[in-house]
Amino acid sequence: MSTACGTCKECAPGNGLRKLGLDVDKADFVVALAGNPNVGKSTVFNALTGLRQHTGNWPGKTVVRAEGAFQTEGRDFKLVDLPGTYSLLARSADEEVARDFILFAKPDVTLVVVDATRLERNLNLVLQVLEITDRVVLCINLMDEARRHGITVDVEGLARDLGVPVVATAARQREGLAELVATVASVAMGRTECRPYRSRDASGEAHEALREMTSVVTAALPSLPNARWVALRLLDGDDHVIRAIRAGEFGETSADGLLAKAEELRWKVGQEFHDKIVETTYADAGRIARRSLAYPDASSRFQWERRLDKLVTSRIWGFPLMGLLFAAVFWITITGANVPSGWLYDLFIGWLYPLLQTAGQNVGLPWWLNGLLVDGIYLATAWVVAVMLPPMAIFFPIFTLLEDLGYLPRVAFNLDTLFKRAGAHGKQALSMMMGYGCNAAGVVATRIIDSPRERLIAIITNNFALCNGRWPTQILIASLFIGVLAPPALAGVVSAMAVVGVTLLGVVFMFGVSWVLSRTVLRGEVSTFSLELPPYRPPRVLQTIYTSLIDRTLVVLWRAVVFAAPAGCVIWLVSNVRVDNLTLAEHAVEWLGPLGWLMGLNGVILLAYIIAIPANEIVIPTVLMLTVLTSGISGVGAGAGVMFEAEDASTKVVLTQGGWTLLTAVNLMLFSLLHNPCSTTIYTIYKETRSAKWTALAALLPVGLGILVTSLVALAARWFF
Amino acid sequence: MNTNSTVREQDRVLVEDALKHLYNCAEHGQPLCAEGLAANEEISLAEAKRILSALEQAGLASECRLTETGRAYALQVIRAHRLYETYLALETGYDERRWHPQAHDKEHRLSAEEVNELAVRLGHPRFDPHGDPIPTADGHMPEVAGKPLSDWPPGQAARIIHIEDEPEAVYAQLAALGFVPGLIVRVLSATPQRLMVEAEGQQHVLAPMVAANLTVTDAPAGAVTGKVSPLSAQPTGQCCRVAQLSPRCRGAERRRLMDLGFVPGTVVEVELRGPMGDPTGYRVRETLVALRREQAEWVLVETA
Repeated sequence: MSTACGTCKECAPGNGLRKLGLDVDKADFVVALAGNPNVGKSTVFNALTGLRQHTGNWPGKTVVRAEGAFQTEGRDFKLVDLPGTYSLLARSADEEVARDFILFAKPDVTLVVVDATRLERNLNLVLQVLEITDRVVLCINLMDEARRHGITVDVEGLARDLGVPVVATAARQREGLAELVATVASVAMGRTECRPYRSRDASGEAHEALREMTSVVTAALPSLPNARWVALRLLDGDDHVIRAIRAGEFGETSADGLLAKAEELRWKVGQEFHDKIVETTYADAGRIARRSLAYPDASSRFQWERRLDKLVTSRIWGFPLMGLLFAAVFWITITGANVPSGWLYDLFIGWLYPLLQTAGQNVGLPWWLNGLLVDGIYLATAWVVAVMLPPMAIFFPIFTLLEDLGYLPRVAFNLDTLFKRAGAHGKQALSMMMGYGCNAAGVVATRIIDSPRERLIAIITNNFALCNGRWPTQILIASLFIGVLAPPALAGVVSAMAVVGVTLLGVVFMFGVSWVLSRTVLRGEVSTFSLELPPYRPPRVLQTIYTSLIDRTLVVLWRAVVFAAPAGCVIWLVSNVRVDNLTLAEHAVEWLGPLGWLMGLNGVILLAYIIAIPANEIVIPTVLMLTVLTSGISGVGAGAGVMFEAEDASTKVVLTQGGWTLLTAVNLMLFSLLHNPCSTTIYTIYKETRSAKWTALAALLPVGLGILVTSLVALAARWFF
Repeated sequence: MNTNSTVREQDRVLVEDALKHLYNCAEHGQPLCAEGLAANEEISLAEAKRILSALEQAGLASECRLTETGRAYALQVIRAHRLYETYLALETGYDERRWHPQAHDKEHRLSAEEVNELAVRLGHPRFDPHGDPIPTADGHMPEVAGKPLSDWPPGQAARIIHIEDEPEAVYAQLAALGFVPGLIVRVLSATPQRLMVEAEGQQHVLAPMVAANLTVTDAPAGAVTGKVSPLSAQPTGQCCRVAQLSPRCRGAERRRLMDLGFVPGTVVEVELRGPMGDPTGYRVRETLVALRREQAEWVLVETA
């Protein structure tokens, strides 16, 4: 038995390892959880450990390795959730993590989860795991779906063929879990012995070389349980295995002789060696699967799914259905969020804010400290929460429901051609849509794109999706300055068209910038396309709402609050700290004036965008406050450093007195679309890319475009009018 | 700017290119002379003579012949070049026409340790993407025996083992037509003016001079030479069996397709066409997988 995790280099903490709030160090047994993407592996993990890891109906949602624990027969079991992979050939980071854990951390049991409805493909991974380790338990999950499709699995026959225990489960219904735990424990404690299936080599030069290498490895390391696999890896030139042999991790032997033999044989195996091995494994998987699976009459299989697929991707209905569905989602979000946003505003700003101010004065805080804490930090934070929380709490669960249902991959499928022309991936449509809720969440959502180049494109261009912090700005300015140009009866329509126009302009920029990026700075990044269309699954509404609130809404909100609080502090300080009898804000506004003029904006707007970088929600309140402060308007606002919002009419009066024209309004709408992402998003981009270079590009590219576009518009406007 | 070091840097490039040239001449049994070097490297005759004497002074060559040290040095440069091309092919998204120029630049700038690290990272590859063997760190490299395609008897299946990547225009033409090492081809007819060549169910017309840049050998037993067509050409509802993945599909793309289950022998059904005609959803091993047209072109299938 070994609990060596953390002692070897490959699985030491910090190597993509994250703990989920449980003390899992003192475990009696270590169980590794492996499986293909999208087989319900995370559901099994959650069911066994009682933890909540969100699992979407997508391939590959487990990006970081999660750990949890469970107890049975009075012993502690640590469960390590490995990344979902199709194979263990260590050709990608995910595969390497999974493979190295099984090989070097030597878990007591490796639990492989497979999808009962797609057993044949999943067995490919199972057979590879069986090559590496003896102690394996196979969990055939999603039995409920298999039953729905009329598929029967001969569990005992499969166990006989594979030589390891097999347990059928439906983890979502907690079916078969007790037996699964008992079986894992039995294998861990050595009560059940495994005699895993090992592939028999076919003929051909490659396989002869493999046979020869295997016999050399067996002779050198007689106690090795997986000689054929080690031989295979040596012929494939796997450096981790070569180093492990040198370091004596597989036992004492003359490493040089072994490696020299491998070097010699490698010239013989040729270039198709790798393909041949994969082919053999798949052939074995197919043979075993056919023996233990029984399908119903092929014509009735998956019939309704096929029909639904034909409908949602049809030439005639595909796009209208998609448009209707997303229009409905946005409509529900915008109208549904108004009411709770109003409540939160009344609660935090109407009621609690004056109360806090008075309380501060009553306990004798100096005016500046009271101002800094209440007018600065509290107000900015409360503002962000009130504006941001309700739309996100509505938008994200709906989106997650569509995702769990399996509809979103079909959207990516329908739109892929458009994105392909721009050098991007169809799934970018989904991260963009997520961006309309929140760009930080949109950036996180790009994880579903598993091709490096297309993922970077999706991350860098996500900011061109107007997030919900910017919608209110667009709507307000459009109705104040653009709607009024039309006759009153049409004002509403015209201002709505203006907002839609800016949104579409964002889509145009997204495609254009994607096209340029894929052909210039990103052309050297690896690019592959794959899009799996998973079976439709009935969504679990309550659990989805719960997990999407925890996973997406609260996490994003918390980050926003962390960034908004210091911004509130800065906003208050620049409007109250005086140098040479003028506030810092007035100095900055004067200094930014020329650039503001060039861009058809003004110094106040630029300053507001700089100090309100943490949250787009507070840009307009900051603009109003600074306009009052710098232009000396009296009778409006609540004092220096206190953000405010006013009735539409008086807002327009303030802005007009601050020198706003139609040009300022149009350019503000453009700049609101084309400027750097908020600091929450920038931070998220850094976390996702781990690259200062790409983060800087993602931050500077939109703001550069914004300066260019607004300056050109200003130039044109001044030329013509 | 430090002109001195620039000159030395230029010299290094010239010296190393000259070493490669001398090595190639020796391999092909061609005569060695300053004229040949000048022509090959597009430098003046005087410059070529200067380089050759520099090589002799450094003990790398004597009487227009590589010494042992010179040969080892040349193999190191070749190793760097071929490893870097392999790296570009397997781990980046650069277009294949950019591999040679980039590697040609990089071969002079990688240190021996960097080259070894690259080899480790790539899993000690044996052959570069053009089918050429990569010398090992201790200078071992097997001979590759083959014939130019222009000399191959018509009707007999052959396997491409090498594609000459110079001159660039010819290579670009061959690359654009989809010729890669590993491809099984058959000469249908040959006249002094042109060769009719069949590969992966498609027919190409090549000038004999162009065909001479393809080195071929006997097709391995069991190689797919029958009637195959690309998966992309199959109509919706068609069931077919994968015959092979085209050798044109390499690196990450190839691994992805194999992971998804597109391996020889697999039955694939064309199930779902996207509303704009692309991508297409294929039912493979009970899973619905969407592939773009270019990917489906790599999957060669037999229909029942």
